Order: sequence, then structure tokens, then C-alpha cells
Amino acid sequence: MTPERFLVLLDAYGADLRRWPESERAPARALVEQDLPELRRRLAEAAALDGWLDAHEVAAPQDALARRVIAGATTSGLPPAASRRPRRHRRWWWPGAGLVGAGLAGTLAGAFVVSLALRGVVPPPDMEWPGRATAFSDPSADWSEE
Amino acid sequence: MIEDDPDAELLARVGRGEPQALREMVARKLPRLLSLGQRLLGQRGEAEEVAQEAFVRVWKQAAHWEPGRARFETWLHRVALNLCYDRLRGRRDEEPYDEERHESADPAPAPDQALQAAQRSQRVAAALAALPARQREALVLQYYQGLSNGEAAALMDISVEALESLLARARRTLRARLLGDGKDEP
Repeated sequence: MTPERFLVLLDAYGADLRRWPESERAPARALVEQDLPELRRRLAEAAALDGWLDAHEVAAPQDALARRVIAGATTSGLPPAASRRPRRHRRWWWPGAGLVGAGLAGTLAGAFVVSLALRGVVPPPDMEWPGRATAFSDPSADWSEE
Repeated sequence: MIEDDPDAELLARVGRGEPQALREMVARKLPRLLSLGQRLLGQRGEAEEVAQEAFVRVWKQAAHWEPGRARFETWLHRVALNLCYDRLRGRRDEEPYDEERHESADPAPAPDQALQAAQRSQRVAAALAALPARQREALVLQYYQGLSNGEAAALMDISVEALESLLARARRTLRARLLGDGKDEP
């Protein structure tokens, strides 16, 4: 990799080589290890901007929002696959499971079905959000609590 | 062909109408959708609406998913991007930047250190919001969402070279706005 190519990529992807195209990382790292003054200066500039960008935070979603999202989806109807269950399954569910089966069968209308569908999906008060595990382990980088 | 989609199994369960699977999918993806929407739209409320609408589509479309054709993550970004585009088109292009329109990450009263962090965050939000839309989109997809250059370029229907050009221009503008004289470290 030439220093010129390095600077083109630096301008686009920033100072953290983990954000660079995978095929460019190793040659870029080799160039960095040469510690050329101009590259060192430009890397520092890019790192400073990265620091600013990482300062932009997006608040994690609250449980209430997750509940609204789930409710909004499930009340929009059943996924086509779920609503295509064979009738004999419906009959099995209907007398046995009653309320839950009614929601799946889709034979009841309106809010009654909605209330049943939601019963099983409303998350507990503490929604289990996944960890911040990402392809990058830098805790200073804001990956939005992904 | 996409062979290793980490979301494929969970998505199949969503497609079978398993409420628990949807709950897990929301826990897994909602933060990323909010991140995308809030940074592109500059408004938390709109970002939440976009996320809600995106999950309605996930719920409805999951049964039709064909494993191997694309990564679910990429498809979900496409859906959310389109919803964001719809909202951005609804705004006037020349609409001046409105400080109050672009909310800080946490409006709650905060101690000094947290307040400074919130102020820095808000300053970056303002700088992002002032970018041309395509530059902001490129930066959000590549930098904040962590998509590969190929994924980001494909979502934007541009070449990787064009994506890199947008990224470089975005970063140049942001550097001028945020670093200024170079003394203003975050």
C-alpha cells in the first residue's frame, strides 16, 4: 500500500483500522508501523474526529418502547406462515388451549384476538437487551448499545 | 449466496409466528434501528416510529424470507432506510437547521461530566444534521452502524468508490465543524 492510498482510505474510514475494508487492514497496519511523520500526523487528526463522532450517543430503547414495537407488530396480523396452519391444528388448539389457540386460528376478530396475541409477547419489566458485543471491542466507540 | 446469517434461525421462528422470537428479535435489533433512525432523522420520536414500522414489516415478511439471498441485517437496514427517506422527502430541502428539532440523547438533568457529554453529543448531532443527506447516510451506515463498505454502498445503490468519496467529504466537513482550530478535543 502506498502512503497516498493509505491517506485516501484514512480520509474515508477514519483512524481505526477495524473500520477499514478487511483486505486493506494488514497492508495499512504495515504502513503504520513504519511511523512516517506525515501519516502519524494525519492519523492523529483522524483519531481526533473519531473521538468526536464517538461522543454522539443514542439513548438505549426503554422497555416501554420495546413493548409498543412488539404490540404494534403482532396486532398487525399474523405472519402468513403462521396463519396458514392446517385446519385440523386449529381444531386441536381450539378446545384445548382456548385463549391461545384462538389467537393463532385467527377466527376471532378485533380486540379480543389482539389481547390474546399480546399476552404471550409482552416482555417483562426488564427487557433483556443484548450486550454490546460487536466486531469492535473498543468501548469508547458508540455502537448504539447494539 | 449468504451462508452465515446470524439472524436466520431467529427470523425463521419469527416467520412461524412465535411471539417469543419476535421479542428476541426486537431486543437484538431495536437499538440498531434507533441508532440508524435517530442519526439520519435527528429526532428520537421519528426514529421510534420508523423502528415500529420496520418491525411490523419484519413480522409480516419473515415467513417469506429466503435464506441465503441476503443478510437479514442488510434487508432490515434497507427497510428502515426507505422509511427514513419517506420522512426526509416530507421535509423541505431548504429547511434551516433547528436546534430544538435535533434532540440531545438524554434531556434529563445531569451532573457536570454527564452534561458535558450530552453537550458534545448534541454538538455532533447538529454537525451530522447539517451534512448533505447522502454524506450523512454514508457516514451513519459505515461508521455508526458498522456495515462493511460493500453493504453500505449496496444499500445506497452506489459504488464503493462513490461511498468512499461521500465518507471523505463528510469527514472533512465534520472535522472543520467539530475540530475547528484543532484545540477543541471531545
